[in-house]
Amino acid sequence: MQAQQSRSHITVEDKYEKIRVNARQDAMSSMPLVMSNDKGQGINLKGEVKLGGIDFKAIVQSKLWDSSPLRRSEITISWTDAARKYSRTVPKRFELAIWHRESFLCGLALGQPTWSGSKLRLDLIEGSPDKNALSGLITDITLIAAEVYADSIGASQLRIMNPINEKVRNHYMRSDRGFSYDKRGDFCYRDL
Amino acid sequence: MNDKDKRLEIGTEEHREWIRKRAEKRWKEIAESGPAEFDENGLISGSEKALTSTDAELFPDEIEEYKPEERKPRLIPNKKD
Repeated sequence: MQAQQSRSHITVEDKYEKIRVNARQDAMSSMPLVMSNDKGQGINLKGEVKLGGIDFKAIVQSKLWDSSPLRRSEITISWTDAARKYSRTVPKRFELAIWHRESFLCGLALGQPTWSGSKLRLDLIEGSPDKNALSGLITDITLIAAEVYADSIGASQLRIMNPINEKVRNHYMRSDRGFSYDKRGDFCYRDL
Repeated sequence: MNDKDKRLEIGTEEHREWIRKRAEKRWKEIAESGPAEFDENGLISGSEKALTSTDAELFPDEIEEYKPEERKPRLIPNKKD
């Protein structure tokens, strides 16, 4: 029985890993050529941004965040632990590592479809504690990558769990982002 | 997804092409308004609770998100004084 469950898990994991890879490729290929970061610098998105999974390289880089004096004190979450847990228990997970020029880790995100499969919830999004070329763009890159993954698995709603403050909530609720806020559950949501 | 799009089979190249076009359109909407106006260097959203909770715990009003074992009625023993 245990072996059968393992084989089943591996089969689902393999299937959804292909979907994750394709979704990240589709999110990258649909990016505009240039967008301005928070310093007003034009960033060549197609040439400088790479979207990947939370692999060994991303985990190694995220460990630098754990010890960074710039990392906000309220963050106690270890990406190593979170990614390991999701990798083991959530084969249909959404995972994203945002790289600048394939060398600087700018952002990480983890999520999962709900039990019914009709919604994709983003459980954690964090930007690098260090200012970088993609500062100001991490939220929206994650948003598009998640919407593409949600479309890829047939989910019809995206939920951003626990936006950290009012400014973040308001960002998602801007008319061009199109999210609403559920106060009781503390999440922003948008029907796709 | 509208009715027409629902006919596209998930995983087909046609469906992927539809997704890419939709993403391009979405990027255009978002790119016009510029970068985020808050500090993205740190936690943006999420929590330890979100990472460790089931859908039933996070969305208790949504029965369709309960796993089968979570749908079983709970037995509440009679309280004896």
